Amino acid sequence: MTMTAIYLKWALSIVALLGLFGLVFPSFKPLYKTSRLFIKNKSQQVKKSFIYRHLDDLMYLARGTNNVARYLYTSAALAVGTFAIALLVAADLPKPAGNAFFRGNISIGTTQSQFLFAALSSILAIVLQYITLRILAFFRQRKAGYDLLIVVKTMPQFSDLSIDEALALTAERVGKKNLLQKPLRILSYVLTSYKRQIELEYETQRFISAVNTTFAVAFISDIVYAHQSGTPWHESMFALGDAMEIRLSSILDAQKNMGDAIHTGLWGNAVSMIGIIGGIIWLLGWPVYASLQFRTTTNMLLFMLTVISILASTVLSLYLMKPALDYK
Amino acid sequence: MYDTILLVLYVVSFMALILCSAQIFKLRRRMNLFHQKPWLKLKMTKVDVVFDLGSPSSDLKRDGELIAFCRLYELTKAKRSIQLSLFAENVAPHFPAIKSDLLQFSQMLTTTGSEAYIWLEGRFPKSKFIRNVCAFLQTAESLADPRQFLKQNATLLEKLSADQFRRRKDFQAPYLTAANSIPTMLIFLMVILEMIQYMNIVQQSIQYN
Repeated sequence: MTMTAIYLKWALSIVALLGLFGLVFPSFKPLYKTSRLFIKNKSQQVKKSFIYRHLDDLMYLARGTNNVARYLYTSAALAVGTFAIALLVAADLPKPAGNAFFRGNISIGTTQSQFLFAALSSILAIVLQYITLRILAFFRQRKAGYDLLIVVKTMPQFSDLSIDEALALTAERVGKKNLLQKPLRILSYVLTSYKRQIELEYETQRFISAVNTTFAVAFISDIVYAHQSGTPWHESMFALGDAMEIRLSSILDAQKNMGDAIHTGLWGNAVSMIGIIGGIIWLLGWPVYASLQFRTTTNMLLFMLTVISILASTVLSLYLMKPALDYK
Repeated sequence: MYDTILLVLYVVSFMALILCSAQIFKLRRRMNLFHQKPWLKLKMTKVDVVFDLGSPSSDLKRDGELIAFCRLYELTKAKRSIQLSLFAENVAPHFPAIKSDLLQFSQMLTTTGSEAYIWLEGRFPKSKFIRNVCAFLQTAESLADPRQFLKQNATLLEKLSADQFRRRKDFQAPYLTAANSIPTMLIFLMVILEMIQYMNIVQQSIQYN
């Protein structure tokens, strides 16, 4: 039989299968429809769950196309990929005789320990991703407190308009760099379209917990008061902006004491590490240093600890650089 | 034999570690519970009383939230007339460390009147500016048109909150400086260990003829 005949046979059998599917499918249609409804219900239930809400709160201030579904897909891909790679790598690792903690039970190099290593590394990858998300969310919250000042300063330009239109126009004016653009649009939409009081309350609480400053509470209370009473609102925005400016200047004054800790964390540690290790290399020579550093367990462990603590102190000093624009 | 003894020792030490950390977490949680719900303090045991000293960091947090509440009241009162009791009740969820105090305070304001301010003073025994804050709240609430009074007291409140910020920073600064110098210490430790190991290797390879 030639190749063309084989291809023809395959194509004809596919056509036959499609025809069979077309014949049979209509009888499955109700089941398909109910299953779609089932999936829709399930997805709505998932959106009410604790984890979804928690992740959604963390991504409320994020710009771009970040959402919870994307985060979950990414973490699943990370877990699967890390698991596969760690499994492949662990198969090729050297196999010592035993372990101090699991003497007699498990020895490194068996399939059991290989799976354990892969599972642990995939869990570690997911945890690291979550920690990164938390840290980024924290810094976004800090920046949002300062962005609120820009919003409060920009809003009185539209003082002749009603509050919801002014919010929408302010969101356009402050630009993409401002983290509060999306929340302001949501607020303006909710103010125009809410039916029950609880919808407005939910959205405003979300804004306050996202920015998490006293000024956010004052801002929201001004907005809601202006919306519900219909009174002019630009004077209250002026007062709020003045209070924020005074607070900012006093915070910057008090910040001068922290310069020591900030500079140590930002570049002092890295410079001292490069200097000291460079000196050691100059003293011993590269091959001796490399075998001492990377081929002994204790020194390798200490090296890892040092690198991790340098990264942690960098994050800490970034946290110290910008204190929250708040009264607390 | 030796292996089994070692295994038993490991297991016992790990269990002890886990039990100790669980006890510490339990105590901390209980202390947090008493801070959030002060009326449960009547049911405290002797152990709880010993540990209920109020850590300096939690006192600082409570003071900060009190001053923030005061500033928010000032900001809002300057714009529109509001009742303090209603304001405290509405705003309480945004200040988690003093939430129960504010709720109790607003209830006492409606039931007993000016005794509520004395009660609020008693709730912050270590705070340095609680007298000023209480006097400010009472006066602003009693005046018919408090705008002039608020303007006069704005500088005082600003000074109080700046002091609070500086106090918090002074409390944090030594810890943070220490935490930021940990990597350098680790580098020194690593280098010294490396040198000792190198000396050991050299010592072993010397041949005495």
